[in-house]
Amino acid sequence: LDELATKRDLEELLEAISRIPALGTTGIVAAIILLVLLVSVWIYAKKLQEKIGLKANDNLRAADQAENEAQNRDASREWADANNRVEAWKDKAASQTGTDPRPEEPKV
Amino acid sequence: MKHIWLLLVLALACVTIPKIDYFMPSSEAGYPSAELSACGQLWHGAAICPIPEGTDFSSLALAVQTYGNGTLTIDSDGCAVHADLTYSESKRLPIPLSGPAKKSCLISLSVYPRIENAESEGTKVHSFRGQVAVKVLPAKPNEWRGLVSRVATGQTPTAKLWVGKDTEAKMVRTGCGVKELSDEALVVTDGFATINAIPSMSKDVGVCLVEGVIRSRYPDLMFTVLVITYDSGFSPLPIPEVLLDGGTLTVKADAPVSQIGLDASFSGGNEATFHNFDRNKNSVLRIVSLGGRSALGEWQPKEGNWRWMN
Repeated sequence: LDELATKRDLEELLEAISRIPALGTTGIVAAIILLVLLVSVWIYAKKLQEKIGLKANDNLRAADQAENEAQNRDASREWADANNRVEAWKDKAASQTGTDPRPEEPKV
Repeated sequence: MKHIWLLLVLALACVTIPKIDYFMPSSEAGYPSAELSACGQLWHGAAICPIPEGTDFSSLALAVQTYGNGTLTIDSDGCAVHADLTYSESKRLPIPLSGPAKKSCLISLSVYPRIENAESEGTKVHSFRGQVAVKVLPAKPNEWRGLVSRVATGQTPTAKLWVGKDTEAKMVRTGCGVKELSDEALVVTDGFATINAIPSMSKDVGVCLVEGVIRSRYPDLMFTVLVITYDSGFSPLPIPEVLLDGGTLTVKADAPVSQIGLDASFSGGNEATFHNFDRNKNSVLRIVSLGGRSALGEWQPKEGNWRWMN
């Protein structure tokens, strides 16, 4: 019974396929154009995604670099001022420095 | 057959697309993580070196580790160096510095790896930053010590210095937001003095330098502390599990790690095996992530162990 049912299903399927009208030349051309269009859109979307991704990283680098430069500028200026203050203090207080030889640092 | 192809495609995808690091990126946190080599030492993220006045800057032998291909930027207002270099492989890249050292300066470096297959998929690739403080010492210098202190926001930066036993000491210091010289007594324990925070140091993410002098019965001791304050939400990359069996070194790192390197050899992913490891030679083992986080292990041939920095 099972075999008969399968055979009947198969026959019905073949009959349904035979009822589909042939595509014809116009149909084939339209299908190819549609396929090409779909592939083009997919490639374009992929390229766009790549461009956006690369651009995002370029922006990240530019922002990072600008922040770095600003940080360096501020720290450098402040350090130069600190150095000048300490040098001026040293000049004034040089005579008060200790004179005993410093013992060696113990090795850990 | 179909399944074999599927497996091959999956395997290829795993190999070619590096893993995303979902933790806070080091550059965003203000945590320097570049591998630096300067004045004969290996440093992680930040370095401090002395140089006698008039000596050529090239004597610092400053170099930075690069990854894959990308760009390296060098920026220093004090040393008047501003350069963008393109590199094409993972290697220790020497920094072209030259000219006589006249004044102390802070050099900022950034390694920007370019990983196109990851970036084109929308993955962010973060930089590895480095800070190098170069202290120019006069021809007849006092004793000088340079220290690096990396602290999370809200924590107290401290630095320990050998002053010498059986002495009272006081200190003057300035910098890191303190515009006047402050004069304060120091507690010396077993010959070591601990320099505590200047309140303004630990408030914001950033870089600054403290200059100071410790006065005791011994000659004046000059010191410079390079203070890096980073976001407390940052997690340094955990130290990996390293197994050494004969000459075979097996490294198992945390999931976000995308590259493991031993000296000049590199391997993708968070697990790697290296053969012919020489225990009698100095070696550097490194793990890095796309978030710019890294950890460095320096093999100590005498002790037979790794010294880790992360």
